[in-house]
Amino acid sequence: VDTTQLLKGVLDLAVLAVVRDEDGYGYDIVRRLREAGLDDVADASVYGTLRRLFAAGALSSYVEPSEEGPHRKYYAVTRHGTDMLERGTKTWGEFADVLDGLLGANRKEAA
Amino acid sequence: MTTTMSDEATDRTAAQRYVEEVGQHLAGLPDDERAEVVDDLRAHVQEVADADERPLEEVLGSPAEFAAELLAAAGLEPAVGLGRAAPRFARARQLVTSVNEHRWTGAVRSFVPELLPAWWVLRGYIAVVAISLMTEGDGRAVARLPFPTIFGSVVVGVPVAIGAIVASVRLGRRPSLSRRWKLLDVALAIALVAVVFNVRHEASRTYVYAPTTYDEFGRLNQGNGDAGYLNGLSQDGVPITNLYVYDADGKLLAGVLVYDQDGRPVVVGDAVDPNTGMVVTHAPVFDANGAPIPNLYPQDQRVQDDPYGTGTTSVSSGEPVPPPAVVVPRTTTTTSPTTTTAPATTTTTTTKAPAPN
Repeated sequence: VDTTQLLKGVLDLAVLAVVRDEDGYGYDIVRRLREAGLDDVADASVYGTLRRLFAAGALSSYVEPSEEGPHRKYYAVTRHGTDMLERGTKTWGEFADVLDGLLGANRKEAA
Repeated sequence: MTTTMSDEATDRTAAQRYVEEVGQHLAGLPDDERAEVVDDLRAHVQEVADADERPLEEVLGSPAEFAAELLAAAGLEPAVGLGRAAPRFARARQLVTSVNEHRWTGAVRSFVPELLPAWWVLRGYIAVVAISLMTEGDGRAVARLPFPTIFGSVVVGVPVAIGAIVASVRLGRRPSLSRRWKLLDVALAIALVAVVFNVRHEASRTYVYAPTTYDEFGRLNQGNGDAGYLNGLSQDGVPITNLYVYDADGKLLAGVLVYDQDGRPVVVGDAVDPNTGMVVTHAPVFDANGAPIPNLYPQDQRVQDDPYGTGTTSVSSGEPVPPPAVVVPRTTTTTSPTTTTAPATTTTTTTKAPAPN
């Protein structure tokens, strides 16, 4: 299974989770996602997701000056974003259980 | 960071160039939004360039791919490959998407394949009928419908139509027709609907009369030249070009004013003798105020020698048209009127119609 396909459905949740841990700017969020194990995550996808979550009111943003290079735009999770993350976590848990069940049964049959 | 100052400078320009190229592929976005995205990306891409030794294209993909991925993740329309033309069609594509996602669209879409074979048959037939109508012009091809005619012949037309239908169905069954052909097919269907509606519209128009007007000679002019049979008086479809009034003694009356049931002056409109085909000119008669008297009969008519040479002259020339020889039935009344009080042509002072009551 192509992980980039799987990622499409849950990137929102992953980004929200990372930002909830700590406010972050684009490049930083990409790096943290990769460090968490999502090696294939694309910069452009993360950036687009940040924009969409921001437009939906799940994220707020503020600009911090940095000593080296241009200013950085930091993102923070809003109240609405927290709600979204909670609901998403529940949905993901149920979905993962169903799929684990299916795959578990399948594994038993194969064995 | 072990890069020298000059290396860093090149990296910086590479990052700038990359971001600008991405910006070009984001032409589908509104200008302010695009500027904001490009601005944000500058910092991001610069950091990628600083952290990674490899060229940016290798790390992030091509600018076009980057832009497409960004738009997809942001839930915006992909503008890849459309360049600057994208904003103009952005709304249209949004509309198409919303129609595509409507639940009725699914129902229609599953029903359309059932109808397609019928359309293929119809389309083959229409192609032949269209050729027949285009090549034969005057109403003959229409008169033969529903049988198509080719070279004016149904015997040729019907086999050709059958052949066209077979070809059309075969073409329709071919699985991989290009998008362009499919569009052409849809266009043909739309054109057909338009033609059918237009024909219905034309059919309802035939009975609309043009407003009644008087021409420069005061002749009643109903309708335009296309509807010649509506113009002036006619009897059993033959235009009336003049009126002759006889009294009970068989005497031809001159200077008779004729009105219809509504008190409107009765005017003959046709200036061509339907029997001879000759151009007949009406010498206009004016009342004392200079207004034409269009309903004074019989009119002074002359067969014009050179109808187009003199233009619109007020004086007729040529041979006078004689009154027809008629036999007037004798009435049995003993006291027939002996005098008439028709207004003299030159002394008429009014053209007022009699009160209709």
